[in-house]
Order: sequence, then C-alpha cells, then structure tokens
Amino acid sequence: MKKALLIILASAMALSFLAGCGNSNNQNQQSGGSEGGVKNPGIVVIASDSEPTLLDPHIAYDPMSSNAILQTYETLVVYEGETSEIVPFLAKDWEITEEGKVWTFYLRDDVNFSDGTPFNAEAVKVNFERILDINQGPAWIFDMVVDVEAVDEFTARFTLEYPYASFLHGLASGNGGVFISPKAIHDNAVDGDWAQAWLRDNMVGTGPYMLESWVIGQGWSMVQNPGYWRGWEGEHVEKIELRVIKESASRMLMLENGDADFAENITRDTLDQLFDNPDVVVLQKPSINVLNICFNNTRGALQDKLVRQAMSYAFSYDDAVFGIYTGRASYQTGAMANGVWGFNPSLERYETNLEKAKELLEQAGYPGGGGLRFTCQTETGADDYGKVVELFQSDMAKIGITIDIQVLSWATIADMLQTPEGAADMFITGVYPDFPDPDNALYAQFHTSGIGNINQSFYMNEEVDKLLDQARRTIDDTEREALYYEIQTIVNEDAPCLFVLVRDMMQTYRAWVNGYVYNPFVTRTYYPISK
Amino acid sequence: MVAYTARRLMLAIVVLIGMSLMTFYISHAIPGDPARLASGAHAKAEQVESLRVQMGLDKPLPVQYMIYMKGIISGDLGTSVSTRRPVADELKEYLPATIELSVFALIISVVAGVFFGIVSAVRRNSALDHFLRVFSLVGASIPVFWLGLLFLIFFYKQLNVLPIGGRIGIGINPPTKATGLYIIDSILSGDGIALKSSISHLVLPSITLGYSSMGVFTRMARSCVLEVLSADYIRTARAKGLKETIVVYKHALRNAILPLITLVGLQFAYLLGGTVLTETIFSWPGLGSYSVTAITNLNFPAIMGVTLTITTLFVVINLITDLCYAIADPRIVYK
Amino acid sequence: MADIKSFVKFFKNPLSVIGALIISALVMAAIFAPVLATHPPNEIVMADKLAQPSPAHYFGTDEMGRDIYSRIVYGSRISLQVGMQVVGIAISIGVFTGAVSGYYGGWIDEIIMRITDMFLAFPSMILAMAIAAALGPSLSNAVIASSITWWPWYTRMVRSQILALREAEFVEAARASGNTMFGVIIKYILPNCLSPLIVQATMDVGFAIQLTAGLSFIGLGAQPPTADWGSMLSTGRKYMLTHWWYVTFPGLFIFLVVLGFNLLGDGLRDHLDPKLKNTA
Repeated sequence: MKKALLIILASAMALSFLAGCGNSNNQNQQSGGSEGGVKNPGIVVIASDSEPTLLDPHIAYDPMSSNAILQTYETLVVYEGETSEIVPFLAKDWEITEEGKVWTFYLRDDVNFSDGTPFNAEAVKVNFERILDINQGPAWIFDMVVDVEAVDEFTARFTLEYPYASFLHGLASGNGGVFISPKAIHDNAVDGDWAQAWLRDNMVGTGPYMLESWVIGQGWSMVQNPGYWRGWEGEHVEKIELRVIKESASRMLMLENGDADFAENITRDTLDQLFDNPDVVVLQKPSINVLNICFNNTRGALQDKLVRQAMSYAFSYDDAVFGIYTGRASYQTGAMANGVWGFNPSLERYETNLEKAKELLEQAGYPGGGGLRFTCQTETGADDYGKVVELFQSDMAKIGITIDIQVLSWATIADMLQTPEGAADMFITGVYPDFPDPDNALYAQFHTSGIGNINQSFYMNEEVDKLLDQARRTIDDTEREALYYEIQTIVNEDAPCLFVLVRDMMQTYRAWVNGYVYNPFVTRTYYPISK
Repeated sequence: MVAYTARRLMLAIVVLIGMSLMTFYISHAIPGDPARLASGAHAKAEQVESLRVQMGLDKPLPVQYMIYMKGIISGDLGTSVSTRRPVADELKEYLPATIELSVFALIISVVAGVFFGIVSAVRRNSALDHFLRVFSLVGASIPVFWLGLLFLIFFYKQLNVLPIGGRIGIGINPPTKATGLYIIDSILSGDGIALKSSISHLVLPSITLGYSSMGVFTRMARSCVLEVLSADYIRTARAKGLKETIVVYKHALRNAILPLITLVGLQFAYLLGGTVLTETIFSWPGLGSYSVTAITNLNFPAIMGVTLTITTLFVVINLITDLCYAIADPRIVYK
Repeated sequence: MADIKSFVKFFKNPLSVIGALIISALVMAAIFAPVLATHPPNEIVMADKLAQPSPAHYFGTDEMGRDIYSRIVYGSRISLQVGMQVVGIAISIGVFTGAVSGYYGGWIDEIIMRITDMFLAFPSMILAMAIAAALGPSLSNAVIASSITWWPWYTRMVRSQILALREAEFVEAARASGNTMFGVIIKYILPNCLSPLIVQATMDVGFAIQLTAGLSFIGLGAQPPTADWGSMLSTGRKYMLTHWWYVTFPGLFIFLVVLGFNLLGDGLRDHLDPKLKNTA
C-alpha cells in the first residue's frame, strides 16, 4: 500500500524534476522546430502579464494601455530610433517664439484618421481641449498649456503659461498627446462626456493598426489600417495579438515554444536559460527608471540628515545590483539615472561603508542604532521590490536599526502617502520618468508642491524649490544644466531617499522578429516589425 | 410545495440582502482611496476630488449603499474604478468563463469521483481501494497551483499537445457571442475551429480544478455504497443470487442519488468561488482573476459585483438542489 | 473509543498509520526546528543565491541565498500554528453557535442559521481575500480571515447532531434530573458530537493550511521574511522552469502535510463512524 503512495510521490517529483532538467533535450526539439519556419506567420503575439486598463489615450496612463494606444494613435513628434533626439512625425516642423511661450506646429497634410476624416489643426485643437477638460491621467504633463488655436488648416499654435523647455518631450512621450478623430468624439459623445464611455473600448486614430477586438481578461488584437499614411510597402505584420498570461513561467514557456514573439516581464533570475537559447533574443538596455527607498523626511529620527545618510551608507548596493538584479541593473548616483540629460557626473555615490554609517549614527545621537525602529512598506506583487526591502532589513540590522516590513496593495500605500502624517516611515518605489528630462525626473519628486502628489519622501528644501522653479523656466541649455547640477548635489547630500539602483530594461523576443527598435523612452511600436 | 418554495425564496432574499450589507461593509473597510488610485500618480488634489464626486465616493456610507442597492434593481452594478466600465458589462465577460470552467470541472469530478468511490467500496480494503482513496486524497491535498504548473510543463512544454492558457488559440477569433460560453457559442455558430480550440483550452484547467474537488465525491460514493451494501435488503438481494454489479448499481446507486444531488449543488457553488488559483495559473479570464485584480486595485464596485453574483448563484443553486431533492424523494414532505 | 483494541484496529489501516506518521513528523519538526535547521532561516547570503541541492544546502537555496531546507523546517511551525488556530477558532465559534442554535431552536435558531447561510454562500477564497485585505496583510489576519469563512460548517454540524440527540432518552433523563440546559449540552450532548468533530477538524487542519497558503500565494499571508510554505511556493513558482528545487520542496511539504491530515481524518472517520463500524 505504501507503494501506491510512493509511486504517486515519485511521479510528482519526477514531473517537476523533468521540468528542470528537461531543458537540454527540449532545446534540441526547438531548434529542430524553428527550421520548419515561423509560427503564426503574419501575426505578432505578445504574452503579457497585464492588459490595458482602458483605451482612451487621454485618460489611460499606464504602460500596458500605452502599448495598445500607440499602435493606433500618433504623436506630433517622435524620438528618433533608440535615441532621445526628437524628430518630426505628424508635425513636419515647428517653431518656438516668445522665449518658449508660444509653440507653432506645421502639420502634415496627407494624414487621415481610420474613419476617413482628415487630420488637421482643428483636430489638434479639439484633442487638446479634450485632454485639458477631462483633466485626468496624463493631463498634468500639459498643465501649462493655456490655449491651442488652429491658425490655418495645417498650422496649430500652443500658448503656454510660462516658457517650458520640456514641452517637446511631453509631446514625444506619447502620454496623452495623441489624436482621436474629432468626428468619432463628436458622434459618440453622450451628455458632453467627450465620448469617454465609447472611447474606453473603441479606437479611431491615425496609426498603422486598428482595434479588431478586445476580450477583457484575455487580450486584444489589432489589424492593419489600409489607408495608413506611411503605407504598407515592405515587410509588416498583418495582425498584432496581445494575450494576458499571468504566470512568468508560462510566458517563458510560450516564448520558448514560439507561441509568443514577445514575452513581457520575465523574472530576471530565470533569464539565464533564455540567454543560451539561439531562438530567443534577450535584450538588456539601460533605462532611466530608478528605484528608491523613500524616507519620510518629516518623521522622528528620519528628519535628521545624518540618520538618512547613515542608512544610505549601510545598504549593500552590490548585493542589490548583482544579487537581486543579477547584474541587470546599474548603480544609481543621486536622484536620477545617468541616462537623463543634465545628469551631474561629479556626484559622489553612497558606497557601502558600515564604519561610516555607524559613525554617522553616533554623531546623530544614536550610538549602536539607539533602538531605532522603522516600518518599511512595499507593494503586493512587486517581487523585486520585496527582495530589496528584505535585503535592506538585513543590512540595517547590522547597524542596529530594526526594520519591519509591510506588504500592502499599492492602492493602500498611495492613499497613505497623501499626507506626511498618514504615510509610513519609509516605502520602496520605482520612479519612471515620462521623458528623459531632469524637469520630469526631479520637479514633482523633490519640489514642496509635489507633496500629496509624487514628492513621496515629503522633502522640503527652499533652496531646491527655488532652483527647480528657475530651471523649469530657463530655455538656455547651458544655464539649465548648471542649475540641475546644483539641485542634484543638494539632493544627494540630503539623501531624502535611499537611491537603490537603476534598472535595466529587459526585452525578450523571438529571434525571427525583424526590425525591432528599442527606445527606452516610449512604448514599443509594431509597425516596423516583421517576422 | 408552493408554500415551501415561497418560504425558501423569501429566506434567500434575506440572505442576499445581508450578504450585500456585509460585502459593502468589508470592501469599504479596506484601507485606501480608489479615487486617488484611479486618477493617477500626478493627479492634483482637486482632480482626485472631482473624480471622487463623480464616483459618488464623497457621500456617507449608508447613502452610498442605498444608491448602490437602487442601482442593482435596475441592473446597474456601478462602474469599475480602474477601467471605468460598468461592472455589469465586465461580469458578462468574466462570468461565462468561470461557469464554463466550473461545469467541466464538476462533470470531471462527479464522474470520476463517483466511479472511483463505487469501485473502492465494492473492493473494500483491497489494494485497489487503498490506491483509489489515496489517489483522490492526493487531489484534495496537492496545491492546485503546483499541480497546474506541473501539467503545463508536461503537456505544453514536453509533449506540446495542449495549450498554455486562455480560452482560445492565437489567431482564432472567439465565436459570435450568444451565451459567452465558447463551446456553446461555437456550436451555435457552427464554428468548428473555435470549438476545437476552446475544448482543448478547457482540458487542463478543468482537470486541475476537477481533480482537486473529486475527493468528496469518491468519499461520499464509497460510504454510501458501503452503507447500502451492509443493509438488510442488499443481503437479501445477494442471497437471492443476484449478480454483484447489478446489486450495486441498482440498489446502492438509487440510494446514493439524493446525497449526491446535494453534494453536486454544494460543490458547483464552491467551484464557482474557488477558481481563483486555477484561473491564475491558466490565465483563465474568469471571475477569480477578476476578483484578485479588483481587490489589489481597491475596486469596490467590482468586488461587490463579483461576490453578489457568486452568492446569488450559490443561493439559487442551493434552492434548485433542495427542490430537486424534494422531487426526487417523495418521502420528504415540506411544510 | 479509547480502548486498546480499537487503538490497535486503527493502526491496522496502513493509510492511517502513514497519516499519523506524517503528522508526528510535522510536530517534531516544529518543536525541534532550531536543532534540525542547518542555517538561520532568514540569513541572506547573496553569493549562494539559487544554489542547487547539495550537502551544504539539502534543498538548495532561494533567490536571496537562504537555505530552503532550514526555511521549510521553520515553516512547519507556521503551518502547524496556522492550521490549529484556524480550526480552533472555527470550532469554538461553531460549537457555541451550533449548540445554542440546536438546543434553543425557534427564532434564535432561525437567525443563526440565516447568518451561517450567508457565510456559506460567500465564496470562501474571495471572502478571505477581502477580509485579509481589509485587516491588512499579516499571518494573524490571514488566520482570522480563514476562520471566519470556516466556522459555519461546524455550526451546522453541531446543530444537526444536537437536533438528533435532543430527544434522546439519556438527554431527557438528564434534563429531568434537574440539570440546566447548558449543563446538559456540555455534559451530555457535546461528548456525543465529538467523533464527527474530531474527524472534521483533523481534515480541516490540512485544508486550513491550504487556504492560508492560497492567501500567501496572493500576497495576503505571512509577511517577509517569515519562512512560510505558502509564500515560498508562491515565489518559487516563477523559478519552476529554471530552478526546480525552489518550488518543489515547499510544494511537496504542503502536499504531504495536507495529505497526512486527510489520511488521518479518513482513518478516524472509518474508525469512529458508527454507521460503518459493522461493515466488514
């Protein structure tokens, strides 16, 4: 009888063992399979852990919504290839006057929406009115726009409240600044809602692909827009299909089997197996997304710069970068990634130095940790964050500081972060600048006006506030750069957050995918891709 | 019988109202501000405030509850906080997926469970009996997500005979929507490709889910049959020289049918609410996945919608079971 | 039920023996965890991350270089604690409400039964998720959430036992001889409910462990860095294709323990259920 039980146990173990050891023979099968040709030709399949929340480009403000939106909706200007250089797109050319307060765009005259109506200055005007009137999601990027007018059929003019140097980046980032057919907005509006209800699930843009279906919970599919202004000569896929696959292991299996062409968000530690697979490309690129443990700068001992510095010195950065992130990240110096324009190269990085940390704590009046105890929050489902916090906990124990970890849903943490009194002692967060400009990376995070918003360390420094305001209104690049250098030096010295690391972007896709260009600042577009 | 049904219906409504109060209270006790979350990280205080007013979250709880209940009567379950879509519309997408999965899982667990239970009872204390009992206990004991992953590795990765997840294959359009149940819809629209694809997508999740709930049926069938086999009239039947199989199937099964009906009802309801983990593993777009996202996003209307739907189904299924019971067993008199 | 003969008979069933062995091993592991473990369960050694099983790490290491074997040994404490607590709380509430409901009947019974109906109708996983989210994620809140979904089953069971026993002769006799109603319940009725309760409780310990592991799977259970089988399994599943040991061992142990409680409960049922006693 025990035999039966044993057999069952043995087979269960064998099964899971096969899983681990079966790789080598499986790979043979695969390379054999790929000689037979491409799976699902003409369709690019994305296996993703999540789907868009909604498809209205003026409300949606999350990566998976953008990923769908930017296949159908287009911007006035775009980033060139892999760079942060901005080039014409729906706008042929532009002009900046009145010291950066007035921006005039000359539009292409050969662009139509997929419903056949023309794209023109009136469409630009209507769309910006819509963004600013709905005033949700990405609308804050265009906060400073006071007026948009259609000068003539193909000339649109923006008037800004103050000279704003990063306006062009805001347009290129694809967050909000894209165009819906005014006819569709008009025809589907209900009670002056700007067709919000309809545009949640429907799309009418100028882009290369059109929404075919979206089965919520399962994914969406898009087909070619036959009248697309850039045309369909050359190699393109006929269809894009996104499938929601919740498990990282499953997405990896799909990629290995060739059922998925792109697999998003694969657990970093498991990528090694894909590196050895000739049918799969693992692209590792530096990004501008940083990871911070934000201290509540208004709370008890954390008000003391020395305590914050001590903690910054006690963290084992090497373990985080090379251990937890398996080298798929780099050191972070100061508040922003070195890929952002205006990064100050002379900043000094906090390096692990327990002696110095202990010394600083003693100076602050907490010899041997002085019984300091803090709560650190991390969000549910963000595994890497959780690991960093666990590492942080064990590091802080070395200098006598106790950390209690709390895992909460992001919604709960975000709610607590609205006031310094309600917020926890510290929490970990990823910062994703919308575009590679120091204004976007620093202003909201470290200006006092950002409290209750994304100044989540409740950092208040009048000097920094003044400099940030000044830099934002400066158009001359050399002057701006000098201002940002100074800001970064002060912030780094103050250590309002523990600057953990800069994450690399990991992209995994089949080797048979051609024409894919990775740009760190915008979502992937599938138009240039073929397979 | 009519009076009985009416009384049961009344009670069901009381239970449902109680449930709605409870869910409403719990889901609003979850700390967090859905308006803040929905308006995005950069939203200003007044943006959040206007969205809060738009979502009706500025009103006192009892008022919110009354508004909600009023809406329910007209089929309005509120608007999802994260997607801004009516919850009722979203449930129409997710519910059929869960029903399809649960029904298949239930069929598998009933058929396999009852069969194993009978065999087990007839061969009481033999090696086969022990094996079958352990086999069904293994199903109840193995963590579903572990089993699901093992299945995927074996049938998708190693053998490549079954799909990895979802309800339908890549590049295949879902059948024209009538019921939302892909199998029925594809039969209705005569779509052979969709039918084949949706069946193959159902196999692994429903076996995983079915296997985990099979144990209760095996156990019930086994003890029912054993009880009957030891009863006097069976001894008589045997003594009359009837063949063993006929004895078992005719008498024992007839006696087991009533508790079986109850159990099927209970298990079906249980499966509807118990698909969370299976759905996650197999990326099944059903209520389970929906409720997990709803809870992490503090999507109150969605949480309410899911629980109310499942509870209503539970209550209805129970009512039907009890009525079936009454019809199947004329000895029971309801007052 | 406590005589030696039946004790021997119980252990003649190989399945019950296996169940009993698994559970005793679990209890031993929980008691002697510090002795059995080879490493401190929460010690992070990044250099050893995701190491294969070896004499240094019997079950390998996890993504933070922690020893999986030691974490499993310590995790047995959590599992045992969770299982016992959930069932303990559920039984306490269930027996009380069930006894009251069954004994007094009438409108008290009606109210209690409608409340249990409500809880039974509530999908347990979703209810537990909502409660755990409302209370804030922690192990003790996961226990509370699981218990809340569990007690109605005991209420129903005790109630039906009491309904059956209320009219029994010995109960009538006890009541006639001047015992209070509550005295009757405690002295005469409850001991007679004990067998089914024990059977149910034994099996439920296993299922409670499973339910809370499920909560951990969604992130609502034990908080890091606690060594908890559910959370280990949950993290480990991402590594299933590349580091098989990570998910296999916690999965195997959850499975074994739940199976153990099931086998034991099944054995006890056969043994204690009077209806099956006479069948050969």
